[in-house]
Amino acid sequence: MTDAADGPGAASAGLDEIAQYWARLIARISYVPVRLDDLRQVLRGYAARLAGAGAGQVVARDVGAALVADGYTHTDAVQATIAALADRLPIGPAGVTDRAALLGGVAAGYARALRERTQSELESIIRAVLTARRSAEQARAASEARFEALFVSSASGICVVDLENRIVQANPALARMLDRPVAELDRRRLTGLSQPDHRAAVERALEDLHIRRRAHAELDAAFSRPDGGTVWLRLSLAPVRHDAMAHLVVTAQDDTERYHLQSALSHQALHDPLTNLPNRTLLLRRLDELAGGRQPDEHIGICYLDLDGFKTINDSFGHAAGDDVLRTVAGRLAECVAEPGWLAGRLGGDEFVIVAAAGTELDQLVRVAERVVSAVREPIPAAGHQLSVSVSIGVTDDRIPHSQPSDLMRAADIALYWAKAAGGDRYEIYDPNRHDAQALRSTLSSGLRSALQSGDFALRYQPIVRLADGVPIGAEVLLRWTHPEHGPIAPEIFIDLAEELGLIGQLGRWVLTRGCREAAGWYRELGDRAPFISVNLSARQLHDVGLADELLRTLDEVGLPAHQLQLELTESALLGPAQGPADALEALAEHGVRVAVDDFGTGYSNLAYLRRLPVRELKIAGSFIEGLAPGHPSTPADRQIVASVIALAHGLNLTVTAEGVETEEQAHLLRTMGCDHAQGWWFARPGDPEVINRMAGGRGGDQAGYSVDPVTTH
Amino acid sequence: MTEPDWAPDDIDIDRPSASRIYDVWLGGSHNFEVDREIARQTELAWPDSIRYARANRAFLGRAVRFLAAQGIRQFLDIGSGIPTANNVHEVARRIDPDVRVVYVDIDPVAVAHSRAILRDDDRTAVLQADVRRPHDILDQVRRGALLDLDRPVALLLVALMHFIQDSDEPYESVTRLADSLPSGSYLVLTQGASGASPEADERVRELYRRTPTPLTPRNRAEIERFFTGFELVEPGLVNLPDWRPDPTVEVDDRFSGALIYAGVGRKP
Ligand SMILES: C[S@@+](CC[C@H](N)C(=O)[O-])C[C@H]1O[C@@H](n2cnc3c(N)ncnc32)[C@H](O)[C@@H]1O
Repeated sequence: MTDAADGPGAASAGLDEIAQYWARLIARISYVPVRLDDLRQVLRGYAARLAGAGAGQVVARDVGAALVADGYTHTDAVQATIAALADRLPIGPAGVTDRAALLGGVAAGYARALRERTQSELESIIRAVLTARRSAEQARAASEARFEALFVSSASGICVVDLENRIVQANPALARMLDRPVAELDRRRLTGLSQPDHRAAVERALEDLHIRRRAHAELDAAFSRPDGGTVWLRLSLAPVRHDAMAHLVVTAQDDTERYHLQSALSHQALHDPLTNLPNRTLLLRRLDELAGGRQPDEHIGICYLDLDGFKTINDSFGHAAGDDVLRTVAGRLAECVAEPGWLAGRLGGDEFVIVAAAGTELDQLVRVAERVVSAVREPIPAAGHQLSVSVSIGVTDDRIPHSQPSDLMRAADIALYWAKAAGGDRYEIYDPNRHDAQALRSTLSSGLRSALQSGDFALRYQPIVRLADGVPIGAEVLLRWTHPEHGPIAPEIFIDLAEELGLIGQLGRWVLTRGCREAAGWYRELGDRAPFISVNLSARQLHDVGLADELLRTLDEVGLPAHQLQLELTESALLGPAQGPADALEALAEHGVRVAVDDFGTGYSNLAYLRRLPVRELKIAGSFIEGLAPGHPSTPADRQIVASVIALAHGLNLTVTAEGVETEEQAHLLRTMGCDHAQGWWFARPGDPEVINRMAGGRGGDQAGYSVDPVTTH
Repeated sequence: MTEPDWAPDDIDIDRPSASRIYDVWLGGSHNFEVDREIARQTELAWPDSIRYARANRAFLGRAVRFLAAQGIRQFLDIGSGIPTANNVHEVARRIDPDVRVVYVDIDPVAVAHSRAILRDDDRTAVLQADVRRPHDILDQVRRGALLDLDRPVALLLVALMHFIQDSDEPYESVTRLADSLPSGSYLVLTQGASGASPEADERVRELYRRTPTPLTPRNRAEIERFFTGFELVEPGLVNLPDWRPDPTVEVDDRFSGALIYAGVGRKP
């Protein structure tokens, strides 16, 4: 495209002019930005060739083609060239060439070159189309092959479903998960394969995608296998992208194991491992649910349970036995609470809660509470023993429309406290008008500290009479506390409080000293006819290291002969594994102190201790005596038990005292059965020491005629 | 599993494509009747279409020369289209023959053609990729190892972003790309704002809906937002012909009524 043959000098000036004009015309239609100077240079060259000696058709066509090659492909370029050259192009020295013919040659060269260029560009773009299509097809084939491989060998279940939720295509993994051949899944509805409970959710998710409410959805759903099993699938749903057919692709992960693990974990999280009952979390959640979902006039009813004296069981028999008791109680509780919609669970320790179904009436709640109280009374086999356990229950049915579960629990707890205060082994119904137990408890705590000094504690004495002749031979000392404001307080309450406050040792010593001092008075007056004093000794006192020495010192101080003192111990107190208490008892017995087993028959079944320990007397619990009354449902069994105890005691050279004798028949029966001693309201109510003094001094007399102030506990 | 972005059926001379329409206006013949038809129709609405195309191309040339003069030796040209006269590598190599250019386009035909043209050039590469998937572009660029992304790169998004709808998050794409370039890199961007009249613009948008890449014009503020994180070099964001015009160059790029913004920004 450069100047081949420049013309002679004269023509050169003309050529510059021509190039200048030509360049201006062409630049305007140039597709490519170009410097005018550069363009003029190029065009001057072309003009020179055309005006040159060698000019002819060949040169003319060359120039035409050069214009195309330089990129002046706009057809206006020919027009511009002719316009620039037609009148100006000098005729070459040969003079033979016709200007018009020359320009015709340029136009022809341009046209041919343009056609060729157009054609080659078109060919190249068609080649590009073909190449692109080929590689797109390869990519698609590769992608399809990959997809096929993925689809077939994927560990995830995959299926494509249509607008009607029918499976259009499913992969082997999904078939495996559902335990059906792939062919069997064809045309099945995905919703139909899911379990009834989950159909609505699956349907909703599919629907959301079909109507494009969502672009993606995930959900867990259970599906049935033909063998009746369940598989949990985590489904992920998405629309198929390049498809006008509105299909969805569903991928599925088998989540069954995790699901089971999770439900086990959530069972674990919501259940008490010891009893397998619902735990605190579940109970409270249940209460929240009830509180959240109830109708305005619907009540929520709960029972709050606490075992009586559970601590003693743990202390004396060890925690394993305690756990046995809790498990048994839990089992009985579950049996008693079989009503649908009810929940019985363990709150912790020896506390249980029953939550009634929504809308339960109070009397239903009370019936359940009654059932539970008596079910717990049945002896419980624990650590090789038969333990007798009782429970206190606070019942509340909430009639306040907007009260919170925590209010309900507090109310039940207060009622429970009343049940405890009343001696346990019973239920109490919460009554908002009654004293707030929490407040009561704290007043009592502070009262208890001063009570020892202020003399609010008092001892009462219940005569123990010889059945043969009705002569009082002893007196059981009973501790009473009359609070200045609240009146008489139940021993269960203040003993617990005293334990809590660390005052129990002091209190125990006070009882012993006071009792012994009183008995010493009787002894001074009546000598050998004086009744002995019988004092209850707790497990804790028995475990006090200094017990024997201290007791002997006290006896010495007050001037009471050792044989005038009887210590009453429950079986559980006697049965600790420790050797210390046994030694102490041994030492005391050697000095002549009597040892009696209190509540015999209610706690412990292994009688070996009777041989091992210096026991003198068995006391039969009042509950057995109660059954001796004719017409009482448990008469035959109780009579058998009492007879056996008497036989056992006599066989071992022990005496027997029946407690809680309340009727003449009972007294009579016991006498005929050979029971040695008895105590109870039939003979005398617990009274002041003077009464004992008087009774013993008078001897005999009408058994029912002792007038002793009755002391009520409430 | 990546689906091909253009199904083979899309690679069809029955469907007009932006790159080939542009080629029509640049005097090329890498186009088919469907493309020429859209070009003609567009020219009816925008009589200046050819001038826009040329002016855009001329700007590209000026910008590349400017960048090469600033020492830039690496170019990432996204939406590069069909090679024609004065391609980026050609312009830049007039200043330094060692310039490296990676051309990227979504149009498989433009890509196939570019590859055919540049087959023997080992300092250029052609990728088929989508600016809406910047990670894919960066991955391919890194794998190709032609560009060193630790050294300054000029990112060319020339006459591209008006093909990206707002719902495709154009700003996020540009940010992603820009974030992976070191300081001293440049962003070159042009994008159409408005043409002859609102009616004419709507007509053109309608015509481009027949292509796989419909048009989304943006106003000045929206276009300037693409330069977030860049400092615009003089004269800032201006109408195409006003960006550092070259008085020595004869180009018919004086158009009236249309606004196509052009700018060059430097990453500090
Ligand atoms: C008008 S051309 C611009 C060519 C060149 N950049 C220029 O300014 O001279 C626009 C190009 O962008 C391409 N394009 C459109 N959408 C794209 C996308 N999402 N990703 C990459 N390229 C795209 C088109 O295929 C077309 O080739």
